[in-house]
Amino acid sequence: MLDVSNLNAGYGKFHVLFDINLKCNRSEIVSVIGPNGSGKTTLLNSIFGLADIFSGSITFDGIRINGMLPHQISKIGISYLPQMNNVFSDLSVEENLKMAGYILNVKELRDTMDEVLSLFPVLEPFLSRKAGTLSGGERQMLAIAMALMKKPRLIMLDEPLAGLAPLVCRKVVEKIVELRDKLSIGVILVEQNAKKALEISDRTYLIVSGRSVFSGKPDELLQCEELIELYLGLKGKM
Amino acid sequence: MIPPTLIDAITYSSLLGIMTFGLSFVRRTTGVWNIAHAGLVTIGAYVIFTCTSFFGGNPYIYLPLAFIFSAVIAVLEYMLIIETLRKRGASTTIMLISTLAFDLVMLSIINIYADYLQNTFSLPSKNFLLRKLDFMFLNMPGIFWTSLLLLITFLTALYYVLNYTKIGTALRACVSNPTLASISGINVMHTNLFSWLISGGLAGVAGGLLPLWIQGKPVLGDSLIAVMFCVSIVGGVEEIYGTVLGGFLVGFTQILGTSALSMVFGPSVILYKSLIPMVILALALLYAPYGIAKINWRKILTIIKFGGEPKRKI
Repeated sequence: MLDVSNLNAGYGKFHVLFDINLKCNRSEIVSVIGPNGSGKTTLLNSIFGLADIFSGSITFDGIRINGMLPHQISKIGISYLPQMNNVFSDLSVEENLKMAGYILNVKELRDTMDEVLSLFPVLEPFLSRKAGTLSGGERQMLAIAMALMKKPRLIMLDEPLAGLAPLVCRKVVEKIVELRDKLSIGVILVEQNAKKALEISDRTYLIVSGRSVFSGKPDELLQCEELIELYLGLKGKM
Repeated sequence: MIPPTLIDAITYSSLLGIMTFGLSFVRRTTGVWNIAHAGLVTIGAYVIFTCTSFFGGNPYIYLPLAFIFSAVIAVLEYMLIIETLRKRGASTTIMLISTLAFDLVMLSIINIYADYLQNTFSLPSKNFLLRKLDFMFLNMPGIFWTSLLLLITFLTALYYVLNYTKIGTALRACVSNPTLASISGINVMHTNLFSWLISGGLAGVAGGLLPLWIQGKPVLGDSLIAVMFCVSIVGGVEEIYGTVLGGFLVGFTQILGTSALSMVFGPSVILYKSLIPMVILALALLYAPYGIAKINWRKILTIIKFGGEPKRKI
């Protein structure tokens, strides 16, 4: 479905990613982990047209998406949930969902909104409330619900567990697994919480200083003690 | 019978409201203070002057044309200057200066055009007043009724568009978070274009109405730009009705204040009329930097009532 090959990208003259390769199929959770500042978010930004691509290619279902604008990419079945500012704080929850489904027609919008609200019933009582007044967990649920409004085939989540209480964190993880198992959506999960990410992912990529140092199954990564100790600081914790 | 000074104050305030609305709207949606808004106002005035001079008839029937002309130029300004600079990562200060340059270019073109009309057709294009073409209704000039009615209509229409339509909500989404808006599938450039189009159009309409009340000249808009900025900042750019509040506060204070002061100190006070908005601006920046529309009146009333903020119980 998504195929990133030999990607070199960054911002302006600032080179962040070097020869990155990544694949994500339908019904698959692919995690991208690595220390702070390693280029995980830049990878998602590059896929979604928010960073400058210097060389390499990104294809989605055979369509080359390099150079496409974010609003064009969102129409071909990819959703992106950024880590920060992922809801419109000044708009109501209902308006947020409507804007997330901006590309749908009136009937599709109504139907999709009903479906999404059935997946996230916690949002229903807050429909008329401004998104800026929601708690961290509710806001994250809204952000995931917004990402689903476009009925994507691939969803990219940038640190969806950051700053959440353990109980809320578990609920969000359950929802991510649901996306794969019930809706057959491919998920690219960028996460600082490597332990949680490795638990639920089918394949994983470890990125360090903009370079991919490992790609494979989470179990295989866990056997590379040197890597997980050096870059993830997880020795003895898994 | 409404006193003439009050009619003047209402007309001036309404015109300021229509004129400044676009300035605040563009600042709110694209983060740019557009100094060339002054030129767009002047273009509206010249569209009406040209049409009435060559084709005759009531000036009001040419207002849609003034809207279109100024709107098209505002869109061109956005496409050619603002969007190009934005793509190159220019700061808002650079964009502000670029709008000043664009305004100067427009001012030069308007001057050339005014000279052409004067030399070729012997029209008083450097100083014109269209009051004699205005109508009277209930013993009051048409400009009074039209400006007030247009202000109310535009405000209601824009309130409806922004709150109850898809494009309006998209516009608010773009203001709130442009990156997320584009991720959501909204073409941010299109929504920005829409706001520049509306803004330019309203400037054109206000400019078209001005020569029915004050003298039209090539620097018509530029002579009012300081007051427009004052209205925008005093009213607050965050609220749609902030401009109206600001327009009425500045307009009323300027007209009624000057009138009252001239009765006390003599008519020489009129020379310092333009100082009034600047004093209001200074006070607003000191005590209500986000504009009067953002003032928490409930808190102020509580302070007045209790002589201070009520202490919280722990």
